[in-house]
Amino acid sequence: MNKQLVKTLLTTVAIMLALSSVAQASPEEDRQAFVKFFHDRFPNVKGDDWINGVYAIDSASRAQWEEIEDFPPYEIYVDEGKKLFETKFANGKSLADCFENGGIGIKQNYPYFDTKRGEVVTLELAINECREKNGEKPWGWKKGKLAAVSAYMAWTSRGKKTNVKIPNDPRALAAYEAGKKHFYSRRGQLNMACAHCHMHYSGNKLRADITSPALGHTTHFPVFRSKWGSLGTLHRRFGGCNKQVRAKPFKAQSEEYRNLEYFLTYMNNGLPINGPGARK
Amino acid sequence: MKKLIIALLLAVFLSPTAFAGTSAKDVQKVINEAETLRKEAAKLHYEWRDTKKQIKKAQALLKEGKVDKAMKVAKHARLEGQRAIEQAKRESTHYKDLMP
Repeated sequence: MNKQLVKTLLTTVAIMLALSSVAQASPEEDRQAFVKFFHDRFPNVKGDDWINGVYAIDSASRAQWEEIEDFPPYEIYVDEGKKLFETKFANGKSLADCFENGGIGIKQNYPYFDTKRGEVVTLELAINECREKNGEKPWGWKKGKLAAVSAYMAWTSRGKKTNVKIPNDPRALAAYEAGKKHFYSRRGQLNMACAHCHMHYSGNKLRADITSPALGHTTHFPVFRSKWGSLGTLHRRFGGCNKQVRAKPFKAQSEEYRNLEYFLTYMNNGLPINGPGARK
Repeated sequence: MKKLIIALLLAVFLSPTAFAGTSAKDVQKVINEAETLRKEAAKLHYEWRDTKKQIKKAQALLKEGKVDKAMKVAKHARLEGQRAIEQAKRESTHYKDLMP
């Protein structure tokens, strides 16, 4: 074998190895694999019932939940959120002025990647930024007034299909990949990933609770959790999950959690918004 | 021979180190190491939930003069810091194992 041939062969092998190591599935391929995983795991779940979380896979829990839904505990928060949403700022403007379509029926488009800023913008972030831009103090991120306004905005978006986009911008893809990495990474003293409880063990019992499938998770937030006794945002829940595996939680609306929300919500594309929800 | 063995045993048991317990300086060194590791884990986004609390607890025990207890807690915090960094390094590629 002459030297030239060996050189060519080695170069070809090196290129093939390099390509195979960097090749990664597109977000859409990820989403399809994600959806298929849950459809294979829970073949009895029909249509969009994923949006109902654990109630889609456990009939006993569902029966209790349906009774709770007769007098939904989040209703007073929706009313409070509507009032807050319509209250004028000191400068005469209101939250409606900061959003497309006056903020009505738009939750399905959140979070989005802002190509000017180069970061993920969640609905809660946009609400507080709107307040600050108009000279008002921002609200706390996890519960209270912000969660109530978010609940009202989700309410006005019920039935609209989740439509999160990843623009053709390497920073957007990087944000998506960072969120994906968080979801699948083992962390904390228990060495557990979000994907352990909400994918691979989903439907099994953790103490007295059945772990819910991740497919559909983002559609029903913010939620009234019986455990909290109040309404809370998705990032409040993220923090709780991280704490439960004994990892230090990140701050609500940190880049880490916004990226995680971006990934998770993208996985739910096509599923209708049904927030706010009631959960255990 | 018997005298030699006795002499050796005496040398071992009477040596200063055999009597010197954990010093406050030793504990502070472990606490500092634990804090460095914790910060490194935080930088990698993999800090564990209780490491900081344990470092604070070790520092408080040391202040109270409970040196042995402080050392135990500080060592545990240091170990958590080490494990968190190992986890971060491992998960930089292994997170893909859980993908469908």
